[in-house]
Amino acid sequence: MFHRRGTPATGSRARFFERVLFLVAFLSFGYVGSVALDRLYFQRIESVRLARFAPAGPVAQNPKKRPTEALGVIGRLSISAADVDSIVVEGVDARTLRRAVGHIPNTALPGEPGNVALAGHRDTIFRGLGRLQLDDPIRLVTPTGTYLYRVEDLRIVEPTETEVLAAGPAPMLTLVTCYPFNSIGAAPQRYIVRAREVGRPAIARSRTTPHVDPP
Amino acid sequence: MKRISILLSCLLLAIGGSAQAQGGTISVTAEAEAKEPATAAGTPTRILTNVGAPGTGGQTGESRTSTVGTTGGYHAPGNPALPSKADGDSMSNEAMAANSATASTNSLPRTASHEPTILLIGLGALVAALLMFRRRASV
Repeated sequence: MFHRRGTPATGSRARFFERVLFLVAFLSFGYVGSVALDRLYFQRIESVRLARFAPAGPVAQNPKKRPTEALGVIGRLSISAADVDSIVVEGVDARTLRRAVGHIPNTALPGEPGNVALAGHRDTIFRGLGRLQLDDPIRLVTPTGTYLYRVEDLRIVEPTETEVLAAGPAPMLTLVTCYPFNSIGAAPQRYIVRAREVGRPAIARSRTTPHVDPP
Repeated sequence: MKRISILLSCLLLAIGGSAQAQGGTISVTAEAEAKEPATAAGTPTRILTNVGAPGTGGQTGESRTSTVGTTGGYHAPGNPALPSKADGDSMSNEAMAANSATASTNSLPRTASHEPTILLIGLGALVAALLMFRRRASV
């Protein structure tokens, strides 16, 4: 049974509900803020780590290891046309993608023949990907040098169309994010950016000889 | 009272669903996206069953328990497979091995974060709370 408006019972109930709503708002903002801070912190830390492994450094202590195994970080992705500047790490699990761009496991790494496939959140790091146009440059800085790519294809696909990860005859870079960009909730499609490699590292060193500090 | 309870339940359910989708094992978003398999990326899982066909990078018929929360291995045709990492002498090595061992799936990773949804819920709650406060203050 509802009380009439203005009675003390209604007032206390309204006050309680109001407090709950404030709490919900506080928790929501707190969560979103903490995720953003965690991302900033992770990016800062990994940037410092990546900078330590400059290409001009000495050869690796363990040449059998690939750079990602030694570092855990693949490199830094920079796309000025899309305002993207993010660390790239291995994996596409939820935690990784909350913090950085993820390298899709079992696709090629920069410098290897094949297709380097990277995934990122459409509403954070890859938000500006929709602004990319053909021939826009993409830069991928890795411990072995800087790789340059040019966008050659933009397309929207279904999540099941994994053919976009297939390797072509030339070294490629494929960026994957959810589509549409402005929707909220589950994304029914994927936005794909394919770029061809146009520049090899200025300091050409083998992938198998990264600079790794002794343990 | 009934109305308030219903509103509260809806709000808490919405928040709970989003938060669990971020790091738990139950995913409201994943359920809505019925096209994708349950082990799609972004849905941490404890038991990973490798179902890849021979030669596709997955391991056939092998069940594997993992606590890393990594899901969704992707092996693109024509790409070089990662080398075996049996030595496991470093943490990153183990992480890489876990990634390689996960099942081959037939979908691209899910890359929509839940922050906008949660932010929207927070904004809605704040606006509602302010309206209630204003109304109460004016009585």
